[in-house]
Amino acid sequence: MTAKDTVAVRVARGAVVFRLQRRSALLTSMLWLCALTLAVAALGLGEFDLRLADTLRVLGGGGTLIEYDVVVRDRLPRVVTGLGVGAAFAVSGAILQRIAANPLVSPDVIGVNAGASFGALLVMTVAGGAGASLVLGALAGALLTSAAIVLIALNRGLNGYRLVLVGIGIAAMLSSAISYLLVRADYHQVLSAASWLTGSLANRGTLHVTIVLVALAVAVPVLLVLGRHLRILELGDDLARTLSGGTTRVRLALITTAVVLAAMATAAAGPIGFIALVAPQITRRLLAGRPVTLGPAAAAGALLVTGADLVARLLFAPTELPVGAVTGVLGAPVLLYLLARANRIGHTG
Amino acid sequence: MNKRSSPTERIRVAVGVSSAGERASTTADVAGIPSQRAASPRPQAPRPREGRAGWRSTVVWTASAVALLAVACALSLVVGSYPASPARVLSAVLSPGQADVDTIVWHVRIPRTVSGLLAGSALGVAGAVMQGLTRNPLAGPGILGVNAGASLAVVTAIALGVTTAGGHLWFAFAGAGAAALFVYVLGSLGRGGATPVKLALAGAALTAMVGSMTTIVTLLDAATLDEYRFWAVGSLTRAGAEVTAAVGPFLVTGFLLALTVSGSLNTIALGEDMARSLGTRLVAIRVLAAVSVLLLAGTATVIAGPIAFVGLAVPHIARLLIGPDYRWIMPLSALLGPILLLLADVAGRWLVQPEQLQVGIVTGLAGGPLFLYLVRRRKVAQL
Amino acid sequence: MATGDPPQRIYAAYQPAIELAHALGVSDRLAGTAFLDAKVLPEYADRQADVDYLPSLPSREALLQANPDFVLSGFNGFFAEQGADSSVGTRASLREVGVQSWILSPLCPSEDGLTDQSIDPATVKVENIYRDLRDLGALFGVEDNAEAVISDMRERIATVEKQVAGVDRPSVAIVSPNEDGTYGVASGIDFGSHIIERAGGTNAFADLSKKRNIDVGAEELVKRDPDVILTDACCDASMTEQDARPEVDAILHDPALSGLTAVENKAVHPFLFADRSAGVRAAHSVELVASVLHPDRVG
Repeated sequence: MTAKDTVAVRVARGAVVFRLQRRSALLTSMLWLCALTLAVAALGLGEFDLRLADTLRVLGGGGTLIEYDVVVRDRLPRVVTGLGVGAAFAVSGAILQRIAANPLVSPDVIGVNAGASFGALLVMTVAGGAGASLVLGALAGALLTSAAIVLIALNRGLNGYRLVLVGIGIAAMLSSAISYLLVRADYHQVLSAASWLTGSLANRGTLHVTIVLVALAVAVPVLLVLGRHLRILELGDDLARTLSGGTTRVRLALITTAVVLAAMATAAAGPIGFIALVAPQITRRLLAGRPVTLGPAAAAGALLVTGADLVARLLFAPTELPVGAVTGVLGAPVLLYLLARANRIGHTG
Repeated sequence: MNKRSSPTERIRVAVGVSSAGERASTTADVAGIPSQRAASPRPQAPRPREGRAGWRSTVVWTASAVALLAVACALSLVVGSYPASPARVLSAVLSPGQADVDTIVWHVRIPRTVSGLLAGSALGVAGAVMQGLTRNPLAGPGILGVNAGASLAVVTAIALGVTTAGGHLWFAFAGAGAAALFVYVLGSLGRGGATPVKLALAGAALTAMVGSMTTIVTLLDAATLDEYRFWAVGSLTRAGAEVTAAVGPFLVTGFLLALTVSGSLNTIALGEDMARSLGTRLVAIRVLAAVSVLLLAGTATVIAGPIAFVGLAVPHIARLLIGPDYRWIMPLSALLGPILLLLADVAGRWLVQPEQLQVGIVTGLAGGPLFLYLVRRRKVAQL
Repeated sequence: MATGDPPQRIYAAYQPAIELAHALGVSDRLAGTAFLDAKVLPEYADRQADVDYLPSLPSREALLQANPDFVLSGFNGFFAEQGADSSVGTRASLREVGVQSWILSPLCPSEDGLTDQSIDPATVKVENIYRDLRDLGALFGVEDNAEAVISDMRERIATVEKQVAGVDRPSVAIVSPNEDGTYGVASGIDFGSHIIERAGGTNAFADLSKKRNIDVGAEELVKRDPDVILTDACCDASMTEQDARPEVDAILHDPALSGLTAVENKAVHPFLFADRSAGVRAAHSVELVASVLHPDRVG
């Protein structure tokens, strides 16, 4: 599938850009279509029995009190939160992977996961809080940790490599603290904490929907402006500096956007693993190895999370799994398949 | 240490010459992380530069590490919540009797010291090999999926009702092996064989998938989670003498393989093109290196559980101290790993008495700041 | 806490709540049960077999599918606010869809929506269980059953206390070998400590009061050298004291513990996590522990 495009790259640059954009737009809309279809299906499916007609009636404002509770107050926020955090994680991962030029980089490298988890766990097991305090704890943990990592790494310019190393150090300290809180917690708390730490969309409400939508509403305009710098940065430090000047400032702005997106998504749904890592990789390979624009990655992220949550709810029903337990099982085979199939990645990937 | 070099100088090859005029290293220091932009143009021409660390500094650091390790072992034998003077501990070691102190020294303190020595050096060396092989600073020994595979196998064992720790160990080893094999085969598919990026991605993917499966098993069965959470924090108090004796041969083989490939890792560090100059040996070297990581990291996981930080950080610390020559990074990592583990374990016994802090918890809490200090203070030697 | 007619469809979550419902004789009104740490007491086994049971906690919609009008929970994390994962939503939000609820008083929170950590366990005594039985008896319209259960428990515990009055109190540790080579022990503020006291012993770790369960090393156990060790097996809906045998063997054959008085005297006995939680099991647990500590006096 790639041969024609590759040839074209060399022949006529303009035509290829157009073809890639068309291809990327097509892929994006297809992925979003799948994601939205799954999302609507998710409103009607679950442990509480509802026929399609009932679901539609409830969405139209009818139905019993309990049916309304199940569809509108329980399933709807979870589905919307899922779509939003999927997109947010994926965009965040795509930005960071391109800045660091390292496919293993995802927001957890700059401490978002560890910070949010530590904050949330502190609220849960020490203060006994839940709800808004849990969200705040996670958000504060994620943002403070990322800020600390960037500040510590900011030593005569922002070196991607140093950033990664500092991230490793801080994340190790925090995950030790998390293990400590988990090991000393009582058995029943551990069950609840384990679920949050896996990343879960259970019991989400207006608060969580608001957070993730605000995050996206802020990030999208910023990225429309800064997006073009991503391609320049990818050429490497030296070239980028010549082309755009002030790379450190642009990098900081992009990293900040990525961190805020991931932090708010984590606050809303916990550290759902692997989406930030795999969604950009999948779209990159579906787009024949060209650098990904952020749109397709966002769509892939939304689709992955929505699909994973549906599986998580139905697979072992009536027992429900947190969505994070499934994203790896669903996302990894896709990546592995693409890896195994693409025989060019020895060079391009 | 060098002044901060200009960006272009960061792409270079060092034929290090120590102040004594002795040839110390022939190593690379290649900018950037192996990456999606690997195909982008980058000068590969070797350019001589002053050696990062002289011969003298290397010897001094290595000798200090040996001394520090001896101190760590002594502390590990003497510190504990059961009161016993150093003299009493010594007599228990030399001529064991039947008293409580003798039981504690022989059945608690000596086993956990041995565990720390073995697991620490195995993790340190495995991490160095893995980072050399993949040229990725995020690649710890876990990147081959060893910890993830071992964890899933142990969870399965617990869920199936295997209750003895000894039983869990063999599950862990089998799981680690299966995962590493899978990652390596998958990473080798396609042109170019097991390239760093493919290995890293395959490892990350498998780790995520297997990790998810582990989570599912633990969340479906509360009792399993309750046991597993204690396996998941690293600990030196799990493996008894029979276990450490049984895994000994694996460790020795792993160490020998690591030493064998250490010189070639220096060449691989020069970049894709230089690596290809190894020709047919490249494949053999990659396989040997992967087998050594499996043996070392697998054994460490069997002994102490999934401790992530040591294998990741220790090679970086070694590199920060003595520069990028893998023939020196290996032995120094083998010393620094157990120092970190044993000192962390001693601190864990003492900090929250009468409770215990597991070694995996303390290594992160105490090792993290040390690591950050080094990363900030010293010039980063890139892979 | 709830109003109106006695509830007809009760959903019980966690061991103490499920056993309490059976004890009060409202088994036929159970719309569903979830999350047992061990097999229910033999006298309730038949009744439990007839009731819907989930090994893990239900989601909110799974709970609503069971169509309960009342939820009885042994822990309050079940009613934590949004975002907490083993929760079915706050009690206020359940009330909005017509479902009343109750949290057993040993773990009653000061505020709706908090997790289990918000509770001080040190104050829990057998008397708290009696108060719950009495209140819930009134609520379910089964006051007589409640009084009968209370007087039975009182009588059984009083009998044990009379039998062990004035004896030497052996030191007892409730020990669970952890996977990492440490040992979980029940501290002085755990209800297990209260059970040991009533059964004529003292908790070897009674002075520890930071939290209910504490993990110590082998050295600490050797230092404190308990006369008797009780295991702490958990968690499976079919588990009985017999299933704690592997834990007993693990402790007996642990070389690091070979010098312990309890190990030398083979005084390591099967005991369950469920046996040390505050519920109608308390009388059974006090009898069990007393028979182990004072076999000559308690039959």
